Amino acid sequence: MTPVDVLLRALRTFLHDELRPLLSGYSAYQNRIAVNLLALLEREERGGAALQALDAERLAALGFVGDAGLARLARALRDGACDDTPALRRYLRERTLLRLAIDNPRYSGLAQARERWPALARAAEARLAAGPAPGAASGSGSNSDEGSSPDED
Amino acid sequence: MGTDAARLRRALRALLGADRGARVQALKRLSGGANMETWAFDLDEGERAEPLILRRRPPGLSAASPAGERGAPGRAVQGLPLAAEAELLRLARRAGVPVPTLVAISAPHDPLGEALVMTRLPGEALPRKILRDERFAAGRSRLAFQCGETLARLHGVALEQCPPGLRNHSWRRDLERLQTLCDEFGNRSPVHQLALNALKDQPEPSGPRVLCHGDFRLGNLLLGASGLNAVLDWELAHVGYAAEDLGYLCANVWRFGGAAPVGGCGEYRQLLDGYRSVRNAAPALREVQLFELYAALGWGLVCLTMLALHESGADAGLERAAVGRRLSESEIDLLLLLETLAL
Repeated sequence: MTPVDVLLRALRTFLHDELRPLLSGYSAYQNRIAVNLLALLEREERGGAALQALDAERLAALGFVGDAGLARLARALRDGACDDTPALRRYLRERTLLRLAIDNPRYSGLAQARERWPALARAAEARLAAGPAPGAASGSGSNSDEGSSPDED
Repeated sequence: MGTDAARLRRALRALLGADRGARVQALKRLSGGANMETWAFDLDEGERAEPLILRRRPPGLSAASPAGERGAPGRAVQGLPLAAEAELLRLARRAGVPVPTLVAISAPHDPLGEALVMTRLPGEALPRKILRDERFAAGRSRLAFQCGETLARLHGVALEQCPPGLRNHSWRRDLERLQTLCDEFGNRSPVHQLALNALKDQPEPSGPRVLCHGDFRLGNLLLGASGLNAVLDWELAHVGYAAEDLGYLCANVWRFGGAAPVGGCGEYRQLLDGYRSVRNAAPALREVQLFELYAALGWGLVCLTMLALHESGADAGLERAAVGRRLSESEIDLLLLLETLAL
């Protein structure tokens, strides 16, 4: 059976290499979004499990075991039922570093955050590297920063 | 799209000059925003072709849709009726803000639908070209100061001259609205909640209430070789706080990868100096940065709003589906800003 990451890469290659040369203007723009989304899905396929593991571990430590822990944490913060602690900030920074490495590794805020919080950035990278599907080439030509943004070419 | 373009051409001819035998040529959809179509075309009237822009609300999306009236999710994305935008273009021009010249207005029930036709001015709006092309180096270096001057002129417009129906932003009510949005979207982001909590702890911003552009950033600014040529896209204009437009322009998401705070290419000092050169006083830097935080949170909620529109079936487009994944951009910006501002 063809693994998901192989299917995604094949789709992306088709859209990028075969279809794009035939398109122009608005359709080419839509094509770019589609290619970027497939690259994002490839990154999610590689890193999604690491993110889930981090969430489960830290949310449990904060007392949010089970489903929808993130939303319950958000509501507890809203209601003053959970304190804004350094440990909470560390968790949210680390999870956002991981999230962005999947969603948009080229976003400038990610580079800024890695520079500001180098130890957390190393921890996030280690989690990604220890993910279930290591060794896949990092998304070449992946650039969700461009295609999903309304005002860019 | 071919038939759509032919229909557009016919409707444009009818609006602009059926009686003069004018022809619509070189009609091309620009890769523009998701909630407004932008088309470029030339109106050929015989001796010369006039370069024009059509801004049109996509069929099926109206400013007064039921979603908009309910307050969410529509309202965070959809803006003023285009007729009000036309009125603002006239006001802005009188105040010395560079804007395109209005050519025609099409009402929602006209064949073209709700639309504006305006002059197509020379210049570049694509942020990455503005930030990287050598030919904009001089314009770029002036942009922050010019943005300060321009916003100060806009903020000097007398509020009683504004078209009716402009939203009136109030600090407490807006924060409540953001909380309602967070709740309606299922409290997906603890980071959004931390930012919102920090904003709730702040006093109401100082200074007089002013006419705000509401979307003043790269992408909506047309840059020429010597600087700012025009301010575009007035659909999010409202009455608000002076620091709001300034902070929005500086939000990291609108720096498009540039390192400098003002639109990725200018310094806070230049922006505030430009503002002061017109209005004597400018908002304090911390207040500007609080509105960067506000803008980052707003952007995150716009991402979720667009995603909700997609999920509801109201807009099946790829772009709206994709933008939901930009949530984490707002989250990293918020976490960085909270630390910068010691919040």
